[in-house]
Amino acid sequence: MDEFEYIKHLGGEYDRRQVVRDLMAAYGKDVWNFAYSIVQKPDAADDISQNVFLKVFEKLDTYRGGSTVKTWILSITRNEAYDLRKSAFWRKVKLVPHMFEHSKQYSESAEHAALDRAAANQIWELTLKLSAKYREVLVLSAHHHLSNAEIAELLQIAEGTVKTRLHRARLKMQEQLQRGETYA
Amino acid sequence: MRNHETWEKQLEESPHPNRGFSKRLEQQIEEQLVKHQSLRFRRKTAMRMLSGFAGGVVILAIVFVMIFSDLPGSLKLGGNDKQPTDSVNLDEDRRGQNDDPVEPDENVRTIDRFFNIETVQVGDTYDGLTVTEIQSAERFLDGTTVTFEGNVTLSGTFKHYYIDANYNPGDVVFSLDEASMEKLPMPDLYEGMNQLQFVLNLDEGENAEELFGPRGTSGEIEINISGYSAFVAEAWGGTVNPMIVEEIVSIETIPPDHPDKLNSDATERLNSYPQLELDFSEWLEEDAWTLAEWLASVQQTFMDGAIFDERRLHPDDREAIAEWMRQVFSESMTGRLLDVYVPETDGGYIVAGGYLGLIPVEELLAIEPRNDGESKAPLMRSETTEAGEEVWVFDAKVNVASPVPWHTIEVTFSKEDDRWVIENFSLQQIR
Repeated sequence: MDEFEYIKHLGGEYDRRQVVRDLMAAYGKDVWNFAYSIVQKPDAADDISQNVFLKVFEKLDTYRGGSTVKTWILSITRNEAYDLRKSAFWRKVKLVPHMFEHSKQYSESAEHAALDRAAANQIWELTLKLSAKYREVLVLSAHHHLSNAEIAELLQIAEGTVKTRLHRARLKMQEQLQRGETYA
Repeated sequence: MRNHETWEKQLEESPHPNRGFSKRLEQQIEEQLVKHQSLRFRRKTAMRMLSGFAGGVVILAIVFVMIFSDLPGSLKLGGNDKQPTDSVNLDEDRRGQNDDPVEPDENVRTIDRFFNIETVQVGDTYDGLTVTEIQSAERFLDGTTVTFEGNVTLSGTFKHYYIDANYNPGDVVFSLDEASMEKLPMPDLYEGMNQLQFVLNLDEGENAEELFGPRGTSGEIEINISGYSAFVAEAWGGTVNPMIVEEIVSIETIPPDHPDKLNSDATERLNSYPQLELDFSEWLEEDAWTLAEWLASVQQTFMDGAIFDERRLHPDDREAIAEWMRQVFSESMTGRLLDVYVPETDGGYIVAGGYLGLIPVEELLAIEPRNDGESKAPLMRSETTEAGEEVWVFDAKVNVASPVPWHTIEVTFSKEDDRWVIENFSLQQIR
């Protein structure tokens, strides 16, 4: 049973900040890691995490238990991450390296970006290279341990689609692994 | 085990080798929550006021954005080195007034001062102001922006906000006087409102401090504008409206309310801390509960006293807060707490307030020694510092009525002026 099941019954005056504090303790890592898997920039993942918990703080009264709290929070995380990716700021940041392609700045930017995009291990590195639709089902399944039904609800797609994407994501990963890419 | 189950195990690790949801990030969010809570309270208040005002149906935020051309002017913003003084009247240099009679054009529609947002069209005019653009504002539900061009002189009061203000941080906010409000065509949903505020945005290179005085400055102002956009949307109340100025006609400034007097509000909440009546050298295990109660009481007194307050503090007020902290905290701890809870910020010090993190706020269910290898560490132990001073360390694991129930708590006490004070503390959740 979801340990935060009680949230859907909250009403009237209560220590809203304490609830968010508890949620941060329980799901802070999930939020950051999921955000990072989407935007692949640690600073952006920090910003998204902050926005997510401010939003949770603001929307606590609206959670009524249609999904688990974890799925609810990861869903907010996904929206925040994609909102950031759509923003003009994000596009500007992504465009800058091309403008300095042959310059010293580019080398420094590229080095910095490479550090930014670091992955914990080879599997994560490969996973982060997958296209978004395969990456997110794999991450939600293997890292966040969500069921196919929960993933379907979070991504607003059919459960069958989740199974298909997950199967293809695994195939793609296995192809990459068999190809024996080197990961320096 | 299937093949994918082997490599998927590696995805259970965090994706980044050395970044993640850090304690520091958690603290930053906590600080934002404190500010957000204050903002939320204000917003709820503002919404209640506005919903009453608007018949409880629609809450409006009307934002005005100036669209203007690069016209010359005696005090063209950013266009010269002139700085406003406490009383500068440039009436003799005033230009751009729309004094010429407008030739009537039978194709031009004239709109009412309070116009219907659904029927307004590009080319419509009102007293020399012409609608030049109508577009939806994507960021707001059903938001619409109507842009006007034309020259108008407006007067009213202004305030240059501090950078950490909840609303319009760092902005110059302009409140129109009644006569000026009459000059601007507005969406009819705005009819009946008795106040209009704008944020005076500046072009790149223009310096608000040079033009309006340092943040915290307020005063009276008369400005020329060459156009604006009226933005209408269903949104939160309490938002002020941006506007860009072409020319400052006159300005009278009141210097920032820089702390030259004590802020009694900030110090009258400083209630005395409870006395710590424990002799650590004769420690009994049940004293842990007495100490926990004392810590909870200290925390509550601290949080009730150091409440977020964006007004600037007089240094003497800050010292009064420091003296209050010294009742239970060591000199070094007081310094660290001051840096966090009464930080120096734009234009002085503010009380940032927030959760102290000394002891969980929930009901305490159990206090246990922390595991230390095979043996249990004592709840309270005596240590000698490198400087040869005796300190006592309360080192426990506590269980509280919370979804994350277990916490470690470590509080170090040192002796100052023959009494025990908190030298350091740490509270961690056990996951």
